[in-house]
Amino acid sequence: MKDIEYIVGVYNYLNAFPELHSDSAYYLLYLLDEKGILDRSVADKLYDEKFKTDLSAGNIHAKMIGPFESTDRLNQFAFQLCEEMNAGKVSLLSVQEYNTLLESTQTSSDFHRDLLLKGNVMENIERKKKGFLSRFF
Amino acid sequence: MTLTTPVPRDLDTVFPGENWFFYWKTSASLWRTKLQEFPGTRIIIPINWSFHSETGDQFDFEEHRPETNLKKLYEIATEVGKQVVFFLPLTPAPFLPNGGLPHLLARGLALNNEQMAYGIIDADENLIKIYSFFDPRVFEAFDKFVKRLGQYFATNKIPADVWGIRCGYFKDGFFRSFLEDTSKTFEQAFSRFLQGKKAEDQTLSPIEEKQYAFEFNKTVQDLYATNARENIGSNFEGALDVAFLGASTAKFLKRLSGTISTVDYTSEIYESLAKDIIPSSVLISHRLKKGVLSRELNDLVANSYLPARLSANSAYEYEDIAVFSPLSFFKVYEKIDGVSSMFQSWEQLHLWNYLQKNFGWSYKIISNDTLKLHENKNPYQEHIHLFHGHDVDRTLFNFILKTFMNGGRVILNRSGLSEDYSKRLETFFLENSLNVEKVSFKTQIQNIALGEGRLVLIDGDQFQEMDSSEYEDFWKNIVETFSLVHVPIQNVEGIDYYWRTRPSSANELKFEEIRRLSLYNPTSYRKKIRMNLNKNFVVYKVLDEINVIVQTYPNELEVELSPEGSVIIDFGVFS
Repeated sequence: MKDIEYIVGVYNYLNAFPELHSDSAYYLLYLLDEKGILDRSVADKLYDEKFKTDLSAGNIHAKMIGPFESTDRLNQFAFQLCEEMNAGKVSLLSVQEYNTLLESTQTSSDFHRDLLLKGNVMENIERKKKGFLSRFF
Repeated sequence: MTLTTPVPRDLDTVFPGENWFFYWKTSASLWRTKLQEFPGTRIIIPINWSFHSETGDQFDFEEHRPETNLKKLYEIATEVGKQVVFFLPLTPAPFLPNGGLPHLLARGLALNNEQMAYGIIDADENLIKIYSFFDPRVFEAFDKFVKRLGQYFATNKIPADVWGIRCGYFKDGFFRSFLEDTSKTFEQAFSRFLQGKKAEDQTLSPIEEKQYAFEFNKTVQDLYATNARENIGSNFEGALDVAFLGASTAKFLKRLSGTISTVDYTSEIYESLAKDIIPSSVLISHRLKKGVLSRELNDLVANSYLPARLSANSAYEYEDIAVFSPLSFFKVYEKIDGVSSMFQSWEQLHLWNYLQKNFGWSYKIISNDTLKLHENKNPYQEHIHLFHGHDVDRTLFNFILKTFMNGGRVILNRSGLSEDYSKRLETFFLENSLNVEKVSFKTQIQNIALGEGRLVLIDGDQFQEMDSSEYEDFWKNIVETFSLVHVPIQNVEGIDYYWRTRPSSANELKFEEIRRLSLYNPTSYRKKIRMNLNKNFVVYKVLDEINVIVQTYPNELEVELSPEGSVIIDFGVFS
C-alpha cells in the first residue's frame, strides 16, 4: 500500500436516529488524506471488524462511520486506521473545532494546513521507526 | 462538421461560466469591450448585494463607484446586442465574499445539516464563508436593499427580467440550499417560531420537530422570495434553484488538496438537469473547464437548458422544432418535507441503478414544489410516473387519477399508502368497472388499464430479500410492459451522455421525432460504445466530432472516444 502522509478526521456527537429514541454517540463525518477524501473501504472494514457495537445501525454506515460511544474509542479507531493505512499521523477535529478554524482562517491554503496542525494529532511512531531503521537495513 | 454551439474565447474571470458576467470584477470603462468580445447573445448579471452596500443601510447605485451603475451596464449590454437577465440571490451566494452579505452583517457562520460551517473555494481560489440568513438584522437589511433596488429599476426604467436564485449544492444526490442552517442563530429564530406553533408545555416528537424545522426553513425561504417579488415588481419573473458544482463540503475538502478533477463535477450537472435545477460552474476555474467539461456545460446548460428555463415560466415549450429539450421517459416523484426520506425510498428499491443503467439520465425527479411545473403540459413525451404511497395526499391522489384517466401511465408503490386512499382507489376501480389484474412477481403487483391509461400498483413492503440485480430485473420486467421506444447504449461506463428530443420539421416528416445523443469521455482512457439500432432508429446527423471515430453499420453504431473526446449524434425516430 502506498504511504499516506496524514489522515484528517472530522467528527460530531449526535443522535443519528432520534425518531427511534437512540442515544447520542460520536460519528466520523469525513476522512481525508493529502490527496483529498480518503477511500472508505479500509475504514469501513476496520470499523465492522473491530469497533461495531450493538449501537450500530446499517443505514447510517453509508454516510458516516460510527457510532463510537466515547472519544477514547474514536481515538483508538483513528489510530488503528492510521496504522492500517501506514499513514504518518492522524489529526482529529470535532465539528466545533472545524468551525472555529474555518471562522478564523482567511485562505484555503492556511485552512488546509491548520486542519492537520490544530486537531488532536496522533503520530504513527511505528512508521517513523521503520523509516529510521530502513536506513540501516 | 462545424460546431453547433459557440465556445467563448474569453477566459476572463469576469465571465465565470454559463454567460454570467461579474460586473464588479472589472472597471466600468472596460464593460463595453468585454461584452462586445463575448460571443453569447444573452448575459446573466448576478446582483452583488455587498458591492452595492458595505453596511446594509447605505447604498451605492452609481452614486460613488461607476461599477455600481447597473443602468449603464444594462444600456451597454443592450447596445452591443446582448439580452440582459439579472439574477438576484435570495439565499447566501457561494460565489460572493461572505455569501453576498454586507460585511457588517456577516456575524454568525451558518452551519449545514452536519453542523459544519459551509466552506467554499471560488474560481480564483478565494475561501468563501457563508453566514446565517436567519438573523433578523439580515432580513431587515435585505428588505431595505430590494426596496432600493426595485426603486432604482423603476426610476431608471430598466426593463430587464430579474430572477431570484436560490443557491445550493448537491449532497448524496439531494439538492441542499445554502439557506439551510443549524447554527445558534437558526436555533434562536426557530425556537421563536415554535412558540407560535405549540403549547408551552407541549413536547414535540423528533419527527414533529423535523417537520416544523422544514416548515420554518421553507417559510423563511419564501419570505425572502416574497420580499423580492413585492419590491422588484413587474421585473421579477420568479425564483430558480441553482446548484453550484463543487460547492458541497466533500468537494470543498477535496479541492483543498488540489486533486479535484472533471469527473468530480459531471454527475452534478446531470443530477441538476434531472431535477429541473440549473447547474452553475462559476466556482470552477477555467483551467479545469477546458476540454470536455466545458463542452458539456456549453452544450447542455449555457446554450440549451438555461435559455429554455429563462424563456418560459414553466417547463419547456415542446412544439418548437428548433429547440431540443431533455428526453425523459420517467417522472419520479419524491416529496421534500424533511421527513419523507425516513420512509421507503426509490434508492432502497434500486430504481436509480436500473434507470441509469438502461436510460442514462432520461428521467425527471419531481417534488411537491415542481409538481405544478409538470402538470397540464401537453405531453409531447409520454412519461411513466412513479409515486410512493407514503407521499400521497389529496393533491397527489387527484394528480394520479387525472393522469391515469387522461391516458397516462402510473406506477404507484403502495408502501405507506394510507387506508383511506387505499379504500378510495378500490372504490374508484369498482365504480368504473375496472378490471384489476393481479400477479405475483417478487412482490404483489396489480395492473389496471383504462383506454391508453395504465395504473400499476406494487407492494414495496412485500419484496423478498433481494440484491441489486434482482431489483433491476424486477424493474426491467415492469418497464418492458410499457413498450418504450428507446435504444440502450452498451459499454457506456465512464462515459457521460445525455439524450434530448425535438419534433421533426417539415422536411423531416419521414421521422416522428429527432433524438439527439451527446456523448462525452471525461476519463483518460479510450472508450468504445455500441448501439444496436432497432427498426425505430436511424442515424440522421453526426456533429461536433472531437477526438472520436464514428462508424455506422447496418443496424449498429460504434463510437470510439479518445480521452476528452465528444460527439453529438442525431437520430431520426420512427414509431
